[in-house]
Amino acid sequence: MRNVRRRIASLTAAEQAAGLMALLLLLGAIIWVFPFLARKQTGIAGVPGPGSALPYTYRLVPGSRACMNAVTLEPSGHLAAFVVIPTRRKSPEALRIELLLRAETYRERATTPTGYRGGPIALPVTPPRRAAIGDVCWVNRGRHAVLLNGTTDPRTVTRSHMLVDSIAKPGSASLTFYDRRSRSLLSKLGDAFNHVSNLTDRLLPPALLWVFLVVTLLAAPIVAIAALHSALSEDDADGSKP
Amino acid sequence: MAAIRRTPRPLGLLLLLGTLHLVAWNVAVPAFQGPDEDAHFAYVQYVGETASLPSATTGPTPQSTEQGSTLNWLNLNPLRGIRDARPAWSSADLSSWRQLESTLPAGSRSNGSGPNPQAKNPPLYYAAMAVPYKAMSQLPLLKRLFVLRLFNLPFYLAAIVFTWLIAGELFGRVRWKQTLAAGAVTLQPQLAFMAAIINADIALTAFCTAFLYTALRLVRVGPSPRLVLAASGLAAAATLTHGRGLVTLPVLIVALAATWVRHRPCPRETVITATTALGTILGALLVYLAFGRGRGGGLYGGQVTALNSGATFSVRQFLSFIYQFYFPALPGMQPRIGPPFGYRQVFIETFYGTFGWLEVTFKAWVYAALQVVSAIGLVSVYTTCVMRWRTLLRAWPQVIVVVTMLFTSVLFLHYVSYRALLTNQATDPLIVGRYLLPIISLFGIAVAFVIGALPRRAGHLAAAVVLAAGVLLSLSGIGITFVRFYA
Repeated sequence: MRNVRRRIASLTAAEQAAGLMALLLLLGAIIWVFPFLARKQTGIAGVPGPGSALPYTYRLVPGSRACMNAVTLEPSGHLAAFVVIPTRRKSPEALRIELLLRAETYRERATTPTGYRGGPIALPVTPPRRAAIGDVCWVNRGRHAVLLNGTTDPRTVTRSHMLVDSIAKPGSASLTFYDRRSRSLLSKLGDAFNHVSNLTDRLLPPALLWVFLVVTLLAAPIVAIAALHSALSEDDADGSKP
Repeated sequence: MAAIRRTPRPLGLLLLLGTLHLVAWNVAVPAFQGPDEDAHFAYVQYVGETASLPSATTGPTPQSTEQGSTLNWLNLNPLRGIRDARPAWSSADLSSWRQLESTLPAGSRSNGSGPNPQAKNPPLYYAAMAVPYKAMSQLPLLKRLFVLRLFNLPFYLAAIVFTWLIAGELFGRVRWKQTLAAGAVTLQPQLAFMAAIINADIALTAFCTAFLYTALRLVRVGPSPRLVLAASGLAAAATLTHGRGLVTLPVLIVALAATWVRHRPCPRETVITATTALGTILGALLVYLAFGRGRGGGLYGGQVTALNSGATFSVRQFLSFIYQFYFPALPGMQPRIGPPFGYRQVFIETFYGTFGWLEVTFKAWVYAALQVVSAIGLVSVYTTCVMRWRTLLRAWPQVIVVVTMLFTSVLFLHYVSYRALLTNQATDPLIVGRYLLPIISLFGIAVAFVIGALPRRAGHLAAAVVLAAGVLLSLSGIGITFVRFYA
């Protein structure tokens, strides 16, 4: 211990400060950065219709069909989450909602489970092999009317339009697709970089983003440490500045 | 080349860090996801496409068809401020957007003539950004916006450089203090985020920081015509960038007065100084009046008139308003007008870092820790001032300039907030932490001032702690923002 203290005391001011900075950054990386990257969470595959504090409901009588167009269906969208509310609160009967997904040659059909009495639900679906833009429809196969949650809040209305029994309705349904796999952020980075690349019109290819990530995570701390080290060294060379 | 060779190595490294920082933020924030970025970009686009100014009050559409289609088709509109939303980020969305863009009719880029709420801002920043915009007009919109954002880099780096120079003026050529002051600014997450989006705030920050440096140099060196011209020119540039730039004018007056008292120039020099300063400011005002107002607009889009009309200004109510911004109401005080929005929200949460359209935030404990550290910092500033009062007294002109810049800026924000609440039925306090960024150099200087007062070795180590914390905070801000939009 005494040797360590002697060694530290023999270091210059610049070396001590740089060493402390490096140690703190390493500790910070261990305590926050690595856990942040490694923490598993449910992935969002797409949000064709976000929720809103100003909800709107689409009434679906038995046999009614509500359709939302221009919905992106992604290969990682294994769960379709939406909210259906029964109109009769104390009804003993379960609701039966059929979800239809359609895009190019892709077709998928899923039904709410037996005993579903309304509320938020994440319905398992088989997603398409590649991302495609298509329609999502809800069909009320039950015996009572239900309300499908959506919004007409101008802040959250998306590009999708709603038709209920072929009649145009305002706003859009609230719909989110989730990845059923719980993945760490690190394992999702590839997908995230694809998203960045698409939203910059491929100006930034994913490979470049990987390089940039590594450079930033390494270079930012190193350059900051080097700046302080360089400053203190310069002051020492100029003759013990205060 | 000579300038690059003369750049001190620590400053060069900070500029490299700043560049990395800005690019990382640009990557982390999708198109139009900065505060009011859609309106600021619409302003730049309209100037770039038509060489004229949009209107704040009239017109068929605030955004061009090209911009509106992109915002709509890629679901970038509902992304704003709604944490649960995600953009349309797939390859299928990109393909269909490209198809959509290719079918837009002629004139789709130039029809966003207003009403654009940002058109009340003077045009300096937008005219400057219209130049690279025009140079890249052949690029599709998403690429164009990403590259255009990078042209904020000179403003961001200027804020870092001039903070370094200010520290040099105040502390002397002590590199570690200069590095600490400029480093605190470089690593400030809110500043880097605002630099990475299309928004006039970063230009205002650069001009105000540069102005403060020239004002400090002026009071130290004396009234050379070049310095007076630089200081008044930068004050003029700030006022031609945003209404909040007006705070530089009283500071300029104070700086000139302090210069006169300190250096006692001869009457001829005094006249030249006064004429140079006044002429520069008036010249800028005339240019603004002649060319800088949008169609049908008053000064700053009529904001000056709007804010100062309506409900009567009450000094007592205003003072109570300011007091309750910082402290709980005293017994017998009337409740403060407006929503519960005060010191914590402005000086901590939205100053250190609230991103996107204010929906991306650090965890609550981070702000709590920053609030505690800031409180310790404020007490330390006071204590250090008391300890160093003789030094401060000797440097009274610089102290007066710095204090005037601080108080004028903060008082101006409180005044505008108070008047806005009186005119908008107390709904929008019109004050947020990023409005403090024009005085971000004072933040850096305060950090260096306090830590510089510690015993030498302790000061160096404390500087290491501050800069390490800055790196962690800045990388965290980028990380949480990236995850919010893309994961």
